Amino acid sequence: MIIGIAAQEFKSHFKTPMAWVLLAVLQIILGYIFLTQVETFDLMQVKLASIEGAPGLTDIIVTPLFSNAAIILLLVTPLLTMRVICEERRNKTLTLLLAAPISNMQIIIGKYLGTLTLLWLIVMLIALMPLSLLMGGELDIGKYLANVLALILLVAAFTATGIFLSTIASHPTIAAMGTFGILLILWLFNISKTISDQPNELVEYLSLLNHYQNIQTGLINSADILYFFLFVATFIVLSISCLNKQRLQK
Amino acid sequence: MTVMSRINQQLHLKNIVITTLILFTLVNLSWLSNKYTYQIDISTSSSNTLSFESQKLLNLLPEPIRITAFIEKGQSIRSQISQLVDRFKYQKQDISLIFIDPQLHPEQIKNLKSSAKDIILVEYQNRVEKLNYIDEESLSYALSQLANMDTHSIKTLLKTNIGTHLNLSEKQIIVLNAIILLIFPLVFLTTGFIIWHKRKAA
Repeated sequence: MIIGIAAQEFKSHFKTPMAWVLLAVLQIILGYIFLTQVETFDLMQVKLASIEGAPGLTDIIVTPLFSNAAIILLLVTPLLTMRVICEERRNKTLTLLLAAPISNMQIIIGKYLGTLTLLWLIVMLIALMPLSLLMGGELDIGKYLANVLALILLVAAFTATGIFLSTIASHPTIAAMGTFGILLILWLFNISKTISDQPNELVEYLSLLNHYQNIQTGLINSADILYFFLFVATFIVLSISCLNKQRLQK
Repeated sequence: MTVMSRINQQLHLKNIVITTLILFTLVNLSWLSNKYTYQIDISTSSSNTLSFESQKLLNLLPEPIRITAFIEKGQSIRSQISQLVDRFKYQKQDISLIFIDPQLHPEQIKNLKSSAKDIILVEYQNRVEKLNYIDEESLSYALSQLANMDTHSIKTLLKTNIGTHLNLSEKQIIVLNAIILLIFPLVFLTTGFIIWHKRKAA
């Protein structure tokens, strides 16, 4: 049943022009960033060749591409998740869904996976770009895969937050603004590392960017991976609980 | 009606209790995940792993190491230093790192008698080494000097990175530009337009 809901949700994104326009816009923006980085590397490579232990293609092109992609997806994800539950409620179709013989957990997880698959498709498109560099250079494949893994986990966290806000908000715009606000705050927690002499450990742990950057270096720490899993689990549990509450109020 | 509202109330309470219990478990799990960690360096160049020489050196240092970095707040180099020290900490846990903003504590900088903008002090067994730049090689070198060890092997720690050259012909770059900036977006936009047109017609 979960797969059925996920497939339905995934298809529904592509039935509107919004997802296609979003894919095109993202491709143009990230493609431009990628090609600018390639040009920068091309100009720098003579200088880099003379430096011992100089950064390679992956450090100069791939890592900045994925860092920029994370910020752009932070802006895009709320637009994709805002309608998921909120729109169903506004169209009065949520009552039908709640009346169906499916649990709230199946509804939330199904809708979450449907939207996440679309975002993973975007990640795949981003991940394809650096592979074109293999035509004329060598990539640090381990670091490249770490960047892909980091973005996969990050969008999973973004989507879970978006689904939760879509469950509690009365209007899609409020859901989008709320998601953006929460994600931005969690993103900016990383600043404490540079502005404080002794950064707060809890604030540092909660920072999305901190864990994202750690994985990007190619150093896979169990704490960073589990942070994303626990982050997703927290928002999914909260979403299910909110939907349970709404079902009981009907 | 009363029975229904009572059942409803019980279900509400059950929902709150279950959610609280699950969230409590998740918080505990996050605490455990920080306490017991495992890490693996998957970079092909092993750029996040300390060299064998550095690891061997750290194993020979029994006393705690104290690093004090005099670097202004807001500088990105602070997080780079933290990452580097974390790599050392993974091998030897009693390494402490403190950041001090020289603008907020000018008296401490005056005592160091140094004109450099960024200063990093490495202390081991009450002896201090002053660095203006820190990387694995310089830190290991400073530590080996503080411990009166042979510094010769530390001097060749530089790691070679993968992919320092990119040889793309002009034709290849044009094709790459066309695929990334033209073909893919055009396919997406055309499909979006067809869907919009179909919906409008329906």
